[in-house]
Amino acid sequence: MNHKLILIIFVILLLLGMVPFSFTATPEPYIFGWLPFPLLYWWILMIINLIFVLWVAKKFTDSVKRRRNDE
Amino acid sequence: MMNKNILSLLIILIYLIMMLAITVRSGKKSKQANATGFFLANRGVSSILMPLTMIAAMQSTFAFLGAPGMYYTHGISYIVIVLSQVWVALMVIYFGNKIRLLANKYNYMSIGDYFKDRYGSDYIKVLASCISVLMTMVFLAMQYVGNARALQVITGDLVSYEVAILVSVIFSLLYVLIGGAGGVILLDAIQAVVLMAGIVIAAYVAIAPAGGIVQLFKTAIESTPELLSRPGAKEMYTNKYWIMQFIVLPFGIWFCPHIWTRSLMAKDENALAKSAISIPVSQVLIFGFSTLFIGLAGHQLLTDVGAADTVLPLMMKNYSNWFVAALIMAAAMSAGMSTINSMLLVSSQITSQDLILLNKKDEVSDAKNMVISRVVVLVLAIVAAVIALRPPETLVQVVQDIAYTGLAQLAPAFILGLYWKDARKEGAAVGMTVGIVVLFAMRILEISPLGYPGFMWAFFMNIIFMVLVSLMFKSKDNKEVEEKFFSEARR
Repeated sequence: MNHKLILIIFVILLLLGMVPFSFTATPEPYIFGWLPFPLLYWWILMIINLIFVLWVAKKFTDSVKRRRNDE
Repeated sequence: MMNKNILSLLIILIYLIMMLAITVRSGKKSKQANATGFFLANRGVSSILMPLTMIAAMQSTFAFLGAPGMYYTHGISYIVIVLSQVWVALMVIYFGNKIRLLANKYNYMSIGDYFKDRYGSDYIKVLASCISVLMTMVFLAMQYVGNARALQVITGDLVSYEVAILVSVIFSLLYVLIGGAGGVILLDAIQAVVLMAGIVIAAYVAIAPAGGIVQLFKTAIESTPELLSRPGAKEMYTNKYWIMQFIVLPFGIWFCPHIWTRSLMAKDENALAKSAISIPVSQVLIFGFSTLFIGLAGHQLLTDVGAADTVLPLMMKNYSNWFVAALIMAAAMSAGMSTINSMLLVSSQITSQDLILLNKKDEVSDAKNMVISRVVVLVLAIVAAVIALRPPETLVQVVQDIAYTGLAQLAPAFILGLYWKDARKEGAAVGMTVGIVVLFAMRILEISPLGYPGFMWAFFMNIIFMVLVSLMFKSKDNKEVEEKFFSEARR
């Protein structure tokens, strides 16, 4: 597993969620006329986080398999 | 109307009895003659059942009652739960796998066993066990509250709140005492599927009368735009509070003993990884979308909501037919029951194995150990039910403010113990003690120095004291710990 890469991506994604950006303190602009921008941002981040976790889990099981094969 | 209430009650009771039959059947099959079998399902839960049991343990009545209530009260900012708790999945993969391997090697059954082995201190083990049990009892009591509210609302007060608590206690005791962990795992798997399906159907039921998703947001823009951004209608999600959620929620939930021990139950790495994935998948489905829609729809459609936690049952009661409403509330109780089962098991495990039998586990026969464990299950369920008799207005707030913040105090000693060979028992003991004292002192005194919540002070003081005191004792002999926990890393 490439722990360094995983750590870097994790820190970036964590900060993207954790930092209370000023644009999340106002619902405008409304995307398509109805979707508050903060919610769109959080939904996109939520899905990227999910994909990242799936990728890390796959890397983890692959590395275990590889280690078992080496043994 | 009366008939529908009785029929709703019957549907929920039939569901609970069906689940009991499954527990009895699977409990008979699973070997649970000793404590490892009873509490950890013999450390052999497969990659099919692990993710489902993780979902069942993690997604409680909060999914059906707490989360819609939070979205109803505070608006979309509550999505912070998904953005922060997604990292529990990485904790399962990294910390969970490490502790699983150590647990298999040294036969740990709880976090207390690990602390005792790593730091060689009964004080740390007892303190960690007390924190774990006390905080879980708060959480457990809130699950009984959730179940009781669900049953009370959906039966139109046919079942009083107190009787509803009694029903929840009786069924949870039957599930756990008969099934043990082995029996409860299969039950968990079924309940996980039911609760996921239930919440999606509930969201569909809630969105329809609001005119669909687009109309739901258009109405919110006109009537309650304060729900559509931070800090929310009650101005709770300020910058500092928002940041704090990213520490409290992941650490708080992962150090819940009923979540933590899931890692010890996994049969192999594959099962563990699947359980990790199940966390964000279920979080996105439940908290990212379904309950958000239900909470916002509830705000627009319901006029008389007593406790915010009753938004979902009231929506189901008012906007679907009685049969669908009863099925969804059976799913809600399913979510509560599966979490209650896990919590009861793990709290009694810690109380019996780590507190009552502290250093005498080997002197007690398996049969006697099982009797003690079962008596403890009974006592803890009664205590939690008594706490539940005086319910708060919102479940989530109590658990987040008390249980999660308390449990997160275990994190520094646990993580530094795994990865820092100079972490010493003196540091862990002082850090954990300072953390807990500061946390509860600030809560009791209701102070937030410099505007930061008491938890932030407690957590960072915990880390600072742990590191500083450990460095002060660095010269003490630590060969045994280095050999046992860090020798592989050197190779």
